[in-house]
Amino acid sequence: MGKTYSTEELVSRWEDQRYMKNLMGKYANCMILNREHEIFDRFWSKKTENLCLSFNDGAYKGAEAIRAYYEAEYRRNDLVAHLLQKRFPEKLGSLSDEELYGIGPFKVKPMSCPIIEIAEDHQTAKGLWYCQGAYNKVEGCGPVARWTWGYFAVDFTYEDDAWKIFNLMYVNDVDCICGQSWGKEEKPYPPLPEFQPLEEFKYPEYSVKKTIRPLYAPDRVLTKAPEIPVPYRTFAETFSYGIS
Amino acid sequence: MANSRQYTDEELIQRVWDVEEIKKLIHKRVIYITNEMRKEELNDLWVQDPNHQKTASFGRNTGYYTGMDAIRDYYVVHHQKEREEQLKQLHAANPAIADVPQNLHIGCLSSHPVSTGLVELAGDGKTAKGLWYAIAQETEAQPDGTGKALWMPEKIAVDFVKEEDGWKIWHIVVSTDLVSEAGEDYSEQEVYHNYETNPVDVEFGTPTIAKLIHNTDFNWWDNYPPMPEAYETFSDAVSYGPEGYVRPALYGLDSKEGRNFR
Repeated sequence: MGKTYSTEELVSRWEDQRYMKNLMGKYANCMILNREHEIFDRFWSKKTENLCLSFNDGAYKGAEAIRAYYEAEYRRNDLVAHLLQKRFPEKLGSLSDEELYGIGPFKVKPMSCPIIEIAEDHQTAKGLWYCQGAYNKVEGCGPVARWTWGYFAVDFTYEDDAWKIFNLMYVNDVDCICGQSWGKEEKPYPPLPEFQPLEEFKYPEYSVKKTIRPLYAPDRVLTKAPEIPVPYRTFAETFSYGIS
Repeated sequence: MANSRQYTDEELIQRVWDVEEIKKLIHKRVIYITNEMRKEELNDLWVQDPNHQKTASFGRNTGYYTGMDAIRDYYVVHHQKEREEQLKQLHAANPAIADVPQNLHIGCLSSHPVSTGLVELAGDGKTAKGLWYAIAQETEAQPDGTGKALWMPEKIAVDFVKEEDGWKIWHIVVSTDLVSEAGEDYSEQEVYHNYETNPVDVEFGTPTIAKLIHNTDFNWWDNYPPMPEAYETFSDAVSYGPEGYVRPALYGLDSKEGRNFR
């Protein structure tokens, strides 16, 4: 059991939790809408050093690297839309760049099972969500739908009367083509020449390149979920979702 | 019927916070399952009061284990033995997989994330009832080097009781609606459930009270476990334990009729 709070404090902390749930809801909606390039300015801390955004196979460290990742997502979305415009000139040929942007990728990342703990000093908070998502993307083989099941694990900081992200870990257990078994070898779709530029597209290099969470495989040893937040007094006294 | 009590502001806030804590508890269970922390789940998330432990129950489609000792035997001890046997088989098929404790659960992935939460806190604030749905899956490594991945969507119904150190799970019913291998067409399954081969039923074994409480042949027509309704104080009549089970008037094939059966 953590500290006992007054009624007023409980109300405030309930509102804080709601704020963080809404923040992650907005984050997911930005992904659905292919507005990743808005995410950094809207949701990330501007006053914390050593920000960290991590995935299964590496981490971006610092504001510049994280912003560059989201901008790369924007460029990839733009490239996909233009390749689809070439492929479907009758339907898409007359659209301006602005009208065209966002056609193609459909990244659904619904977040469930939130476990949120707010520090006793109210300066930071931690949240863990399960995400039974889908990533309907366009790859070198053309459109492909993938199941993506994993976790969003987030450290928040309270600055300028709002909660902001300073560490975000999005890692999956499953990333497989919909309709296939994640327990068996993936049967990839054959490449399509009109989408080959996507094979050449590169995201920025990770600041830390290492396996943070291996995807499920029949020979994967038990791989525990990101740690469950527990009640804590100050961030220095708990663990971090950042990667070193 | 809605709760007609009048609460002070303090009581109302406490009730709001209690529901948050109950949701958090069941969300933690999701992670414990993924982490294969069954023993810890019973120690951390389930009732500790001896009187509650005596009446605790774990139900699945084919009955209930009652009392924490029986629950532990099924949920922890039996599961551990199954996993040890599974590892032996993997090792026999592929000696590169060593039969050592750190390889226990190799190739296993269990995800039972809950959604659609529906929580009713008793008028007296001492107990609560919740119902969730989970698009769950369980995957186990096979000796041929693949993983057998099974969808198992399910309702999860829980009675909670507030103990000295917070809310605890008291009775649980996990009613599986379907078991289907990933990548296969589940509409091709046999219509009638086979209790001898269904992996959930086989794993559940022979519970303390063995009886069919959720018949999946015709979807949800048996309405078990039912949605929680507003209630004032806990009683056997509202329990998700075996004492609260009510045999539906129209019961599966016995009735020769039903929503999807003509």
